[in-house]
Amino acid sequence: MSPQATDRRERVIDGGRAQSLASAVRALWSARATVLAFASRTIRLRYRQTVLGLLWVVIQPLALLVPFTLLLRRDGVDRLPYAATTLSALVGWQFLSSAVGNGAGSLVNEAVLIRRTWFPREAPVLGAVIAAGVDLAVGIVVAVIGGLVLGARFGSPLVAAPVAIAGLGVVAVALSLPLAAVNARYRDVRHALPFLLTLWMFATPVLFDFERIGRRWRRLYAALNPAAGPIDAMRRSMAGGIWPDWSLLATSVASAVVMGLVGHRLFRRIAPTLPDVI
Amino acid sequence: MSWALRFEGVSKRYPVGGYRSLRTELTSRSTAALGPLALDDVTFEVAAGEAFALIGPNGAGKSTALRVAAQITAPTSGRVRVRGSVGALIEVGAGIHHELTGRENIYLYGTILGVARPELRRRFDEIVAFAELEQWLDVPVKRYSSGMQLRLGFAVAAGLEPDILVVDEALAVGDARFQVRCLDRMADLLRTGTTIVYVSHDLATVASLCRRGVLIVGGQVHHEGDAAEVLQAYLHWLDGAAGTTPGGALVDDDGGPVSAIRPGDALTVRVAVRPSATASTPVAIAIRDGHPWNLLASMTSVPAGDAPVVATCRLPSLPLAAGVYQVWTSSDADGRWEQIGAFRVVADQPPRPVWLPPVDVGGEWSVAP
Repeated sequence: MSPQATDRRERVIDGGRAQSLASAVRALWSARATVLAFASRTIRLRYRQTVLGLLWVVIQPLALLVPFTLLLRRDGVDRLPYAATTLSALVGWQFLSSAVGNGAGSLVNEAVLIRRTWFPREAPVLGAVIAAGVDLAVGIVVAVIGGLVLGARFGSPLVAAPVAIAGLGVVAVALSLPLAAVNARYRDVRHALPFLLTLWMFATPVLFDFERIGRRWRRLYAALNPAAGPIDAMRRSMAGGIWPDWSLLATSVASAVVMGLVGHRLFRRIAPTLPDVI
Repeated sequence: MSWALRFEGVSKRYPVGGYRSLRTELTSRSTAALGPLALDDVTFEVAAGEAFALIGPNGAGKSTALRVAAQITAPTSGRVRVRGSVGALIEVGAGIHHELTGRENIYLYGTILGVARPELRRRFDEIVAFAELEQWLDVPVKRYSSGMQLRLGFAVAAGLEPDILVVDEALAVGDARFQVRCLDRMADLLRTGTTIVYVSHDLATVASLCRRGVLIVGGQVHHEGDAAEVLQAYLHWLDGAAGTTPGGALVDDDGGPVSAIRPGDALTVRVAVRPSATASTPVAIAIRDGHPWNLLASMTSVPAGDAPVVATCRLPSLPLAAGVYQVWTSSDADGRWEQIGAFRVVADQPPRPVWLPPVDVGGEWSVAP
């Protein structure tokens, strides 16, 4: 059965209004197998013809950790163990960067299919985010084992980690949807994105403790940079042994939800034109 | 009968004019330029459960119509109403991933096309057999021959069981055996009530499969109706013969006009002949099935004379399989052929395999152990 098979009612195909959010979500739900197929394809392809394969997920954050720790650790000043918390944050960041980077490129990568087949156009984007999520699962194991070596403080705040990670997932989806659609039209995105992602990493508490931002600015900061709340929460809960600042996490996630709704609106406007412009 | 798919004044223009960067977009005020009308106010209706043909010359807009129906591209104006799910066989195999193995592609490409996983699992052996993948299942597709890739793509897509299936002519690129499979699959789906919208250049296939259709020329509906009528309109259009007086007629034994017969029926062909004044003139009629060669023929000669005459030829029993045929005539020494009409043979049997010629001489078979 085709993805639309559950919908036997009469449908109208016209060039008029963009799809409503509700019907987009319904279509996506009935095509969930397609989303997973895109994710599975991405995962299978990612490390094909590589020697190290999934080891790359392990190597990257560990390799980055060395110079950052050497350069930025401040003995006697840091409240939290620097290397361990930074490893957790790097693992989280690696997910966000790969999800947004691959998600933004996913529609262009699937141009051949988009020109010949109907499926909810969100499917390849969400597939890319899910595929990055699988790497994240490996990354979390790395962060925990690395944390044991690097002196992480494990405690009951660990239970907050899944919430932080879920929040990061919301941020990834919210940003990759509009970027993917805009990239299909203007390939400028492809050139801008890698360096913007690097800048964004330095603007996010990956390498520094969020507490170095003045207390009264933190809330605004977490709203403007929705990665800040979840990454900070990962640092604290996964390696710092302290509870995340829930209000900052909530602020970031709320901001991401708003960005996601606006972004998805843009996505729905561009989606019907994709086969013609991609 | 209720309809499954309706085009209501559908027009489509594709954007043209090269690539636009974000900068030109921001600095220039005009919106992206649109090309000529690929579809121009197209209206037709496909009944539920029927096979419907989209016929027309290259670039007429047939494929655009299919893509609009399959929801792949949006119409510029007008609308399409659809009852039920739509599956598309358009350039199948284009989504096969070359780095993945045959096995992986069966599941992943199949799922992306919208074939349900249990269906893929059920058909797995059949797909493997059809694409002849037995030794190659775990080899990346990039090592396959192009024929294998094509067969793999089709075998996977054939698992689609939508309410409405749209099929592009690109299917016709395979070898004869492959085409047989495609047609068999469409016949199967028709039997289970699927509506099929079919684009093809192979008029014989259209005739054997489709009951109705439209002729699209230059983005506009030129003719809609019975498949035989539409094919005839297309042949007329191809010959540039639309509007000229036909030089003959097809009639039945009672003298009435004929557009369809059953296998083995008689058909009478009347040809207007202007004989030579000094010598007898050879007159021949021949039957073709859309290809530029004669399947069968009959000849006589008309005595010398001054006035035009009508030569009448009764073909007592035409051993033709279901399909659309054209009657051609030649009455000059150069052997120039001219089309004078077309008819359809209607049969209850399923479409014949495409590798079998349309003339069955009715051999007397017996089989012994």
